[in-house]
Amino acid sequence: MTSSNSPKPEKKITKNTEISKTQKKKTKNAETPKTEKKKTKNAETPKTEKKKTKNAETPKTEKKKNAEIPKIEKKKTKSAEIPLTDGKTKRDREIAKEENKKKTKKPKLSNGTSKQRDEGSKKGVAEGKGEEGKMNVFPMNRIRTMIKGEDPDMRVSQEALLAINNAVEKFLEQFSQEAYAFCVRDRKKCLSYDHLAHVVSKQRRYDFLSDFVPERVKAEDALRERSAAGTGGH
Amino acid sequence: MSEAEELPRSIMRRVVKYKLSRCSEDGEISVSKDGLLAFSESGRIFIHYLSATANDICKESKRQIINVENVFKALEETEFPEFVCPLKASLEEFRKKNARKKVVVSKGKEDEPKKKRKLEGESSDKGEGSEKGEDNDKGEDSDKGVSGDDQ
Repeated sequence: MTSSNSPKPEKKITKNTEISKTQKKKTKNAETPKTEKKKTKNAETPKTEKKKTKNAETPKTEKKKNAEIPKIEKKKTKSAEIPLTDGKTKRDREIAKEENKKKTKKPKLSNGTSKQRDEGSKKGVAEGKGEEGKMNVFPMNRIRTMIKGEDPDMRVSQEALLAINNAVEKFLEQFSQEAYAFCVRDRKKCLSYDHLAHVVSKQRRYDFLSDFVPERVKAEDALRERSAAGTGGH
Repeated sequence: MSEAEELPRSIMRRVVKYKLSRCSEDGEISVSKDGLLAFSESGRIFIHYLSATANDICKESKRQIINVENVFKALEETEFPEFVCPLKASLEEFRKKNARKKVVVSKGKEDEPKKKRKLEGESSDKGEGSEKGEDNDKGEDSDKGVSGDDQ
């Protein structure tokens, strides 16, 4: 996960699609341990499981949809020969990607709200104080499942899980603060993707994000790199 | 289960906007959809990066469960050492609260035998003792749920 495989300074759009595929594969690989977890949970709280199953159905279909569209994009690239048409097709791709993002975002928001309720109930049960809200911003089970998804054999103690939870919160605060600095330099009131990508490219300690939050490149430059790489590769 | 692999978007937005409002002297600063998605992906990758590094450190010390010290060393290796001090402070608060919870539980003497019996029943149903060690907090939550049923 930490290795940056791209020696070239400029990055291609195609690499992003490849990375997304690897992510999907990882998610697929992670499915089996989740089912095992479900089995264990069945004995404890069947009601919560029902809710989870309901929520789980829709994103699977969305995954399939997302998987289909990049194939179509590949076909377009193969068919396209004239550079002008290439530009147009890529514009269509961007539109499709945005649509995918919109679709994926909606159910996640609803899920977030439901889990917030769970957090509220937990806080109430545990003498709910404001301090606990500050300590545990993200749901602990969510982070646990994310870590288990990467490597099912990995075991994490409760205190370590708490430390990781707080570390992610501070990381996001740090990242947003540095992105805000670039936002101010541009004299804009909206923090956009380019500011985040700029932070990642400028600071060395954010290199682990370089494959996931790359600088945006014009289609013409990407095509040139692709043709150069094609001659070398083939 | 793509949901389980994502941080809750609304909490993410809240954290980012809270920080931005503190940074900016002017009014609120909005975040674009692409930017928010980038934050979400960054948080997810950071969790994997940090947990993988902590796991490597844990294996070097020939242990099987990642503890807090492994996480702190991982933060130093990933070049975020400034997070260690505030994390230790919050960890101490967490431990104090755990101590308080234990005191509260010990006060309720009459309920103890009932809880013990229920725990035994659950353990027999599961048939696996290892889960207890891993999910102490979950066990507590389940106990509370059961007590609710009795009421």
